[in-house]
Amino acid sequence: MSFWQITGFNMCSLTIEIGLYSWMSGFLLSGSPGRGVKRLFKGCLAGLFLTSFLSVMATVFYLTGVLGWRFGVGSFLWTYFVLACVAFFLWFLHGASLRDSFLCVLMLELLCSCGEIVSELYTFGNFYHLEVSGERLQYLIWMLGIRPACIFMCGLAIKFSGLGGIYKKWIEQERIHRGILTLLLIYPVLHFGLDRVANGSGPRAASLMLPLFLLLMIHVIFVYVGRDRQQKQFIMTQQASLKQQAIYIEKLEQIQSELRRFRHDFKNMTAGMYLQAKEGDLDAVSAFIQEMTGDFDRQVGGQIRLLNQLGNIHMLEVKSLLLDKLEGMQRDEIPCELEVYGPFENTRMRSTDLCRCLGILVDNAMDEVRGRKDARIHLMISINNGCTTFRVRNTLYGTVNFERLGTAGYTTKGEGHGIGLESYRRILEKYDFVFPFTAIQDGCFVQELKIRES
Amino acid sequence: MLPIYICEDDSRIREAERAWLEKQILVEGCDMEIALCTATPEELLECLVHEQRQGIYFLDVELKGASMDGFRLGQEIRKRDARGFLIYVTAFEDLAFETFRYHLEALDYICKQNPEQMYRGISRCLKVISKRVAGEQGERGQYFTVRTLDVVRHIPMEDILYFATSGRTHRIELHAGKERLDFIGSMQELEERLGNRFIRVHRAYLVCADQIDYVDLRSREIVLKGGERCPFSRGMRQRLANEHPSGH
Repeated sequence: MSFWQITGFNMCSLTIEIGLYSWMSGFLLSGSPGRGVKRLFKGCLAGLFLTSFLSVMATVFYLTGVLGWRFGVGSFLWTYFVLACVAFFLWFLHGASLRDSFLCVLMLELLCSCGEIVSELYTFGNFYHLEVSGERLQYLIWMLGIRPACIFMCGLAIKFSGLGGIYKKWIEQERIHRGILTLLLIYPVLHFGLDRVANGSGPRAASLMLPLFLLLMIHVIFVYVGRDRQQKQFIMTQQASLKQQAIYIEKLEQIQSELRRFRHDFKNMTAGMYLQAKEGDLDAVSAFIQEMTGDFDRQVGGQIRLLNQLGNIHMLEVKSLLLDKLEGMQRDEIPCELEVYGPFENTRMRSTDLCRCLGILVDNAMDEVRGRKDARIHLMISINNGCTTFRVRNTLYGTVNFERLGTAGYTTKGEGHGIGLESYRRILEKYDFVFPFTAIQDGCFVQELKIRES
Repeated sequence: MLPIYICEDDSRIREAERAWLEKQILVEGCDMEIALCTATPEELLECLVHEQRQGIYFLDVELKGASMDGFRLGQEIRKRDARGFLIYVTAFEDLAFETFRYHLEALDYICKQNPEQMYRGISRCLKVISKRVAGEQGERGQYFTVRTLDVVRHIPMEDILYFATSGRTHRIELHAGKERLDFIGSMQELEERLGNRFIRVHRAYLVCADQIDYVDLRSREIVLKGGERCPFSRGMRQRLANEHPSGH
């Protein structure tokens, strides 16, 4: 077969394979491939380029005999080369991070193995001589028909069984379990090695059970570790929820005790007003009503307002963080206002990263105003036109060097500080859909985080 | 003459607002007139279709029985009158005013629970508006307008130090004296848009020429007036050395 004939065959099989990978990656990665016509066009163009490039490379690997290197070294090289290329492609297609894209490809490689192994039942015990046209046809039926169909069925199973959601969460977690990551990384080698040990290098005669068993084992470990992690997360969520409830109860008790105090004052005041009304002193009655509404607002209104705003936050992690910070501000006697416009349900940014960023911003604001006169902190969360905005504004007493802001060691607080904003900057670098804003406005330092949700 | 629009569902409050505004316009001699006093947002928006002038809007936040609330009405007004003055009149003490100010550039909010407080608020707003309008007529600075997702920001041109590309795709960082922000864009577009006032000193840097203090030829960096430093490419060396003072 000529160079271009082989390349043509490779092109067909790789187009199907990359198409399937792109389709299945949609279940495992956040973001949508082909958002808008322009993006879709770019995605198709990139896919075409990747397929052509890999087809030529595969032919070169085949004709130069790299794939036939001893101990399967050439095959491994090829497999990892393809995985890396597809990871870059998925990164471009989805706009997800490179790390997530690579994990997704490793995961897809494992999942596609299921379909591939099933499809190998067709070729079981056979060895095709591609020079013989009848055998070549059979091989092509398997390569371009049966194999993709089995992988497609595997994809459907992932989609409809809900496994995709579990794997997606696994990919998105911040720290990946090292054991699983290692297994995933060496899976192609393991698969190949075990297959060779059991079946020899000649035509296949032994059982297919070994690679299947390996696959099953990886899944069992995966599910076990995943469950363990899920349980831990569940316990943490429950603890956070309990803490929230405790703070809520405390706030309600404060409101109740303030209401009791107000009721006492109110009784005395209404007695006075009754006399004034009887005497026809309308000015005094009107002044009394103003005073009473003002008192009520001072004593009880603030707490009710705060609870109302907190009630709009439905994302548990953010709510816990803000409750904790608000408690800290109350302890340090820092006046703080919170505005949450519209129910805040969720955001695209990873919750741990979001909480770290918000924590850094609020802590910095608190450090700046602690113990100062006329200090004020204002926190705002708003959901508008597919964007979520977090804004922290605090009274500014010192000066800010904008150029050094966010660089290692820059601080206005003295030795041992200056790590927060650097971490903040590093976290944000991972996200293409997050836009920071920093400014000094009307004597206040403003830090803002804007997340594009769609 | 600035037109004033009132949108308030409570007829008593609406009339009180109108009466007080008319009185204030007469007493203070403001160049303003009441153009519309209505309970429905649609009527107000209809009225703005052919209006070219910058307006003043006193809006209720919760418009009972209306198709939209005050926030949504504010958004619609902004589409038609980007420079108008929005003032929210509300019974809620816990109005999320920062959010209103942030998204709609609302001027102020007035609490209508207490008539005296409401009248004081209206008078305060009229004074601020008169002052601002007078200021705008006196001096019109140049601004760099940029949209970051759902907000449009106007940054005074004289405050901008430089633009730099970020590690992320199509992301530009704007460095100003008191501001730093990220937005989506391309250096080439910016270069064309901003003209000669900004120099592309490096593939990743577009620097405001007026902000250059001196050129450090040894470290191949430009030192800006605030002390910030930007690298420049070899090809720019000669031009920068000719046009700006050099130093070490």
